[in-house]
Amino acid sequence: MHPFTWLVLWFWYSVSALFLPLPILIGWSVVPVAIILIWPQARWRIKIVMAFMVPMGIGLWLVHSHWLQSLFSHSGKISFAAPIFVVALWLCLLVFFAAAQLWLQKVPTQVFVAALFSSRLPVGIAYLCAGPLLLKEQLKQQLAAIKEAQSARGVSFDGTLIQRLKTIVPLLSPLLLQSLNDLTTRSSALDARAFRRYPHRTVLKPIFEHRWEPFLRVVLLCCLLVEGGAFWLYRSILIG
Amino acid sequence: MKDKRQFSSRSLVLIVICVAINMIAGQMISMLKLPLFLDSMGTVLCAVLAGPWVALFTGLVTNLLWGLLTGPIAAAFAPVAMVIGCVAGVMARAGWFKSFGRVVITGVVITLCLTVVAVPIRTYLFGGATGSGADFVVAYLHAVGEGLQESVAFTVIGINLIDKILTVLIVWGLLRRMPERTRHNFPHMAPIR
Amino acid sequence: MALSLDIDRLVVDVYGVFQLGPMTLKLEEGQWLAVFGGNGSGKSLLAKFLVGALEDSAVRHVHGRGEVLGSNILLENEMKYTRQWVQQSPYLQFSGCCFTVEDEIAFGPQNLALPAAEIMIRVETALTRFKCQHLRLRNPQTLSGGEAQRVLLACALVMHPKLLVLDQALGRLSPEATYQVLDVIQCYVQELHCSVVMLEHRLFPAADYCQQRVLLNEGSASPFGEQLPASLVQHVVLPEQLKTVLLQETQNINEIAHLLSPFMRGGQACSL
Repeated sequence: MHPFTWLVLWFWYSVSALFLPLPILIGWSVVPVAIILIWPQARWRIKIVMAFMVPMGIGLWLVHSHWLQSLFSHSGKISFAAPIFVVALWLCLLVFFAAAQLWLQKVPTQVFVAALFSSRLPVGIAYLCAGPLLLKEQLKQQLAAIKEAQSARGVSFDGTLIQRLKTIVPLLSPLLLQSLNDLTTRSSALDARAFRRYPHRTVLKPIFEHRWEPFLRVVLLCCLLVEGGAFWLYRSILIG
Repeated sequence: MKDKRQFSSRSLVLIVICVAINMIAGQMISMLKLPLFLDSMGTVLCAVLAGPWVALFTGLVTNLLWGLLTGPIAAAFAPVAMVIGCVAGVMARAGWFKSFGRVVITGVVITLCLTVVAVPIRTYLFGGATGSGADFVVAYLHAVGEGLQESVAFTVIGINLIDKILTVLIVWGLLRRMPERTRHNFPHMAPIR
Repeated sequence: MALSLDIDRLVVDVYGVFQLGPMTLKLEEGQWLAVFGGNGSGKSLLAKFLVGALEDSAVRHVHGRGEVLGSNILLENEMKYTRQWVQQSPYLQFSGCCFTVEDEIAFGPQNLALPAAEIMIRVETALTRFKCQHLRLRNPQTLSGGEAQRVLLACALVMHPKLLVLDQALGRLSPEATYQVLDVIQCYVQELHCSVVMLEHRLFPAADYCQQRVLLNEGSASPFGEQLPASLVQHVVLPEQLKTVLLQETQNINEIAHLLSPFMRGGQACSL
């Protein structure tokens, strides 16, 4: 399926979690985690999910449970309970994050950028996504080279905090100057290649898309609207 | 070169350069082992060189790209980055980058404005927690009777104040060192002296 | 024959630098022009002006007449894809948003909204002629200096320009590779009736391919023929043997042109 379809699928799955009652939400959140564990190529991502969700869970519990309050109030009982909405929030975050990891596994960055270039979106958007990804590798190399040069000149990067702070400007200054001086050359090069001269550019390698995919995307987004409307209606009936 | 489009090629290339600078901040921080983020340097730089609008897009693209690379959490904080760019641009245009004292005040203003945007995001989307050590502070404040939003606001300001002041000072220092020849390329640059 | 360049007593006054001109240049379609000059002689400034990259804010005033590809460059100064300017540093002139060499070369024609089949033909021709087929899936940032220059020239010529300005664009190529690349450019020149302006510090191989030669000294351009050999030696990099010979001559260059011929190689015919 097209990367955009996967993106809409992720969006629908994650936002729907906000409207679900807790019992269904538990099952809803287990599904992406289960897929991560079952899918061999994505299995390593479970560490990323745990690295985010576990501290998040602890933080949420610390903030919202009554444990600290009961500690400070010196009352007889220490309560570990946390309100239900915190559990629901944590599960929603789990859905968002785990499903996003699945999307990242399914759609590598380069494929997404290629999809942006092939789409009907303005090419400037695709350029803004692709440009920094390529440039940051160049800048990283330049930064390492500047650090070597400065070290050779006797600038120490191991001193006290203040000393290290003072090395930031000499480290970044050549990098920045170089980049800004090159700005004119880079933008002239783009203009010389007729960048954004015509509203539509030719797409050489269109990303394959099933005929029903645009329809599916619209259906999913409409589903979200319906779910949201139903949820809001249900809440207002409950309150009213 | 006349350009009738909303963003000329020069602006697009400047955004790309500044976003890349934002993205390599992490490498620099680990190189120097500093307890800071410094991940808005490119945004502030863009704000002084090209104004609030361009800086706003720099912040947006930075967070969207991080979202593309690491996950949706960074993308959720895109409004914060946009506010940093916008406020820095407005302050720069109003002449608040001219002296050391003014730059420090600009850093404080940026921190306050970003807090206004960051607190609702952190409170409603993430329940006030981040999964980092700051949660202890938020939990403590909330436990001793402060409201959740106030606790989160206090933590956000505490984390970001030094970082943003230093960011703005570093950008100011970098721009003051810029030679005349390079400055000539940016006719709309805000005054820094 | 249409004139690609028709410049008559042009003077361009630029802020912070010297004045460019007065100069008179006339270049027909499909011809080569060499502009020789040392560092700081104004070569890049001239190149910028010819392709329309000089910003309005940088120019104090202009007078004279200048027509490039039929349009008056004094009035409008837009970057047009029919005029390609290839500069020294190749890595800065890549689009910066293409992950492979193939995409990089195809970037320009795609922007021109040409039909896909036409783009594929142009890209394949360029890759073959510049001998870059083995580089097609490489990341442009990982290319060596010489490879990057060849790919960049391919990117420029795939736009089918009418004026190609080579601003010291061959510095990272070996002498043999330089001649090969210039032969390929000659191929394109014959096909497209494109004119080439080479701005160089070294006399060869530019002198081999360019019938018209001009010396640029602190902004003012004068034809080769009117130069004294001594001034040539002062401003232009020459092979050692030629330098010693020229230093002993006192007539102007036109009369001693035969002294240059042993160093000329002559272009090879285009086979592709």
